[in-house]
Amino acid sequence: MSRHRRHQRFKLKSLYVWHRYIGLTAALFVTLLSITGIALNHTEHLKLDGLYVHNAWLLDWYGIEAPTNAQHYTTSAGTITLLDTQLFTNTQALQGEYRDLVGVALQNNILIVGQDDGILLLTAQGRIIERLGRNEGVPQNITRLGTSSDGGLIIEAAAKLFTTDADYLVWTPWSGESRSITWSMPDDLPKDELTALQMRFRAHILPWERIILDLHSGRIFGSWGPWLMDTAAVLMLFLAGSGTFISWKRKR
Amino acid sequence: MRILTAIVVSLMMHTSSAWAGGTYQTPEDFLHEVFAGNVPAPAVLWLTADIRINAAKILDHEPDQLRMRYWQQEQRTAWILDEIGKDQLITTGLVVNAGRLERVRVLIFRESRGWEVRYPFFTHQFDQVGLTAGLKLDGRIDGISGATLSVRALTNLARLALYLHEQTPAAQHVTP
Repeated sequence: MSRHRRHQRFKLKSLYVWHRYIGLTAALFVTLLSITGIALNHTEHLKLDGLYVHNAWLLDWYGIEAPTNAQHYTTSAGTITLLDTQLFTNTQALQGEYRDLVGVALQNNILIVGQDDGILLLTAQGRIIERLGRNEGVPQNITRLGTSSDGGLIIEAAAKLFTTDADYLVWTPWSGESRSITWSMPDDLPKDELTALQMRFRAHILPWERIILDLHSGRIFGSWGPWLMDTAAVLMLFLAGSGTFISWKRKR
Repeated sequence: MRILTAIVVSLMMHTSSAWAGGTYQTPEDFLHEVFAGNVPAPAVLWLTADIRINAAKILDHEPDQLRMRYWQQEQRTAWILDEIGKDQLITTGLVVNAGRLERVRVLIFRESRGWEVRYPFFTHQFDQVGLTAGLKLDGRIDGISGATLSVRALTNLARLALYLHEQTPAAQHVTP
């Protein structure tokens, strides 16, 4: 065997060793990219955008914190609490986003939750009966919500008082004695209840789709993550080239 | 030909404006227009278990409210319904007359894509369309390329309005 051929064999063997070790390293990334890629292709079927991360470590990693201030109202049918834009009836989170509460009342087993731009009607079990806003004729800029001495619902909006019918369909000005109104007032939320709601709050923020996307792009590993995935892509390109070259050389 | 027109108009609109969402007509104005200024008092339809099951079949999800508000004048009912296109609610005004859609209008569009469904070339397809026993529309609705989810949302709302109309006293109303 000539010296030149021995040298070439040595180079091919060396390339083969590199191909093997880089292949083993890239296998980790190929597995990760394949699994996350398949999951992302079927996001809707897997309902990944509707499944939320509950793991405290992951939520901390993403810097998701729960608000410390809560607006809390107590009625004989249960509690209503607003944490940031998330509304809870007792400990159950309601769908949608909500704003500053102006008061809560209970009438005929219906919870009436006042916000500055509308009223939310809930069952005592926390199911939404109807959202009432400007389109439903509810006066805007509500500042207070209460009940009159005869049990009627009263709201104060733009410094005027309004009441409604038994089905909350039509809102009309109220001209009774304002001293007879019992206005709804917020309560203090016990610390243990706040902590429990904060945990629930955090568990409704981060969908699994975000995690899978960030795993796929490498962003879950921070600002260096995409560079890591770029390196993996370069390694895979190297493998494609080295594999083709070794195969071609062996055939010769 | 309708499909070709829809595609051409859709392409023209895609190039003419990046986003044309917003409030096209307030629900209040829509009702005034529908009832010629004489808007009847609102009524509510409670979604009982049976109604909820069928509404869920139509929408592909449970309705998020236990009752729906509507406005009735003899055999006509008007509905202001919301449905999510992709991420945001599309507020739509629908009028049902004697079991057939009389008018469908997109009132508020909040999505960044698919606003082409607001145009009459699309909404007029619903005119005089009714509901089959299988809760499908009995007329063909051509889609718009790039607005698939908005088209689906509006089609589902049309089916829902027709179904809800059947549950109201207006469905039994006989014109003297």
